[in-house]
Amino acid sequence: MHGIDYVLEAISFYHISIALAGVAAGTVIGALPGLTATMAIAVLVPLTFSMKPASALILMGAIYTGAIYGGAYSAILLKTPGTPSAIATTFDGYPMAKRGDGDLAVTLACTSSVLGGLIGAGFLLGLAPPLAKIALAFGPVEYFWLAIFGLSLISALSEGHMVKGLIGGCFGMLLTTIGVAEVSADIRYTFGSQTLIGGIEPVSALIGLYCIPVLIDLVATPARHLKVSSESRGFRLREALALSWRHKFNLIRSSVIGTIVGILPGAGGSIAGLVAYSEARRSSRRTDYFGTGEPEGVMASESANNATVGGGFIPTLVLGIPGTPPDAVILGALLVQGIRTGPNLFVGDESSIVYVFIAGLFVATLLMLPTGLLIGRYAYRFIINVPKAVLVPTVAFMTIIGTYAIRNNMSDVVIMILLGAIGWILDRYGFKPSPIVLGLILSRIAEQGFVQGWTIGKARGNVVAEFFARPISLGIIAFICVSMFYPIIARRWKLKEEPQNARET
Amino acid sequence: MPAKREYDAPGIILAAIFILIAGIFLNDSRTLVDSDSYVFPAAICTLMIGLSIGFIVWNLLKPHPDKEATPVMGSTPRRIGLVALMLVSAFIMPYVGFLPAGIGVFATLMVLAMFEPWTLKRALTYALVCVAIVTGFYVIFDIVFLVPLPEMPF
Repeated sequence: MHGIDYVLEAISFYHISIALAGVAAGTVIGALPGLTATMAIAVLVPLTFSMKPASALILMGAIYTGAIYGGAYSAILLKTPGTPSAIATTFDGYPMAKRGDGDLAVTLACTSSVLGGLIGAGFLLGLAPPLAKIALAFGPVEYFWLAIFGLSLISALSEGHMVKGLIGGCFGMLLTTIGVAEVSADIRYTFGSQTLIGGIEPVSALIGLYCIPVLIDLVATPARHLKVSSESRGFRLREALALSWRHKFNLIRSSVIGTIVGILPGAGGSIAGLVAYSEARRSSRRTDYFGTGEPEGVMASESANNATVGGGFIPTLVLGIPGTPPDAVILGALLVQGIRTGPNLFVGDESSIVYVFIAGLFVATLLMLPTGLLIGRYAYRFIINVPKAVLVPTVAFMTIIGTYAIRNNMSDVVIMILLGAIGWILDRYGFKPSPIVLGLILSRIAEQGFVQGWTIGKARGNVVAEFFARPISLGIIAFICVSMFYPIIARRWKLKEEPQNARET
Repeated sequence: MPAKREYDAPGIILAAIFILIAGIFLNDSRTLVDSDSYVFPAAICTLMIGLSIGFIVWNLLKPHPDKEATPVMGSTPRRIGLVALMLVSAFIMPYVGFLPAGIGVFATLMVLAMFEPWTLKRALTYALVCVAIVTGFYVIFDIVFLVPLPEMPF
């Protein structure tokens, strides 16, 4: 088979049908908080056993890419990320929806996801074997610094209360330390409670911290929770495409970040979205508007998290190391099919499977545009038109059942509700939920990297060198410094320049 | 008129609570033998205590211009009712089963979130919607995704 044959095989009626079904199912599942891409793929894996390997991969890839995009709906319309990958989408997506631009935010999320997905798939097609080596160059210390890079976003998300944001971030990280220790597997900070041995599940905690405060305010007043425009504005696709063209560098940079983070095993879409958001904010001319409904923020997060799909497949297929949790399930399904992953997969007899799959991933990503726009439009209309007496119990129920479904544990639901109520109180007094959520999500990677790096450093007799003398670490540290201090320096320059300009005019 | 400078009293109280929480965690760290288990949380606790003390001291020495606190709009009983009902649903579901507990709590939440007068037609429609949504969730999670939802005891 040659290049054109792979494409023809991927665009056969059968493959287009399963890609379309996969994208639609993934989008709907991803939109429901608590139902993750991993769960969706895991449930549907038995269906793929009777399929040809390439078809199975296309179906799983389509579900995966649809689920990652679907997480944006609830992030934008309900301030509850449907999947952890959409955390950064809530920062600007929900404020956009609040001011009446929810339709534009949903369309932007769709177009950005498509572009991010295509770029990720492009890297998978062209550079998979050399890029897989990046994953091997990352040690525990680099993962630690990557998590700190994500945490550096706290400075942007504290909404004028930097110290409160940092305290909130510490609180989030502390919550994650409850239960079984990351490296030594000691049981810690349970204070004798059996319930706490399992720890605080980060996804249920983030559902609580983001969604319960919205519900608490929603139930209290008869006012609509999103502003509604009186005129019908359609998909606002032209506006979204114009914005995408204007911020093309942001989109490309975020997609590349997403691909690279996707390559790193265990990092995942949430870190990709956060790092891309941080970079978009740093390099934007509208830094101060981030967090208040800036379209660039939605574009950065959504393009990055969908780029992790293609990126994550790189170590999965080349090294047999899953880049993201859904990749682990897909890897398992491939083993059942008798496919042996490795560099030879791209050159040997089985290469046709990989190339048909990659072509299928392109097709699935492109199909996400009409599917996503259509589902997005109905989701938006439903959310703005549904009466409050139906919306509140539905969302409340969704949070309960979604949280329960993660570990089939009702204690997680209780913790989620209590954290939500605490989050509402903290938010009122300037301790915003986003830094706490960042701490919750990034703490595990940070702790694992920190403890392992510390142990290696001690064994080598130089802990400082272990953390500060490795080239990749130094590169990430430089980015952290720029991300933390550039906005402050830029603001000072601006303040200095303003009186000077005033004098000149 | 220049803004009045005031202490961030709730912020100071919350920072004190965070110091207490970090202190409790730090104290509990002493029960851990393996340094791998406590080195990271202890570092976080120390940072959290330092930041909270810094926040309190900074606030006491240099009060901020008084930012108008966001007033709590709307009904507080409804807010408390929502949280209480959600907690009740989590506690009763394992004993009563998903469907009965779900329909009961969903219907009560509907009443709680209703701001318009009830009519017979509206009540019947909402009752149908309630049963349809809860059953829909049951089908998606229990039957399609095989999530073992709490079963009815009879």
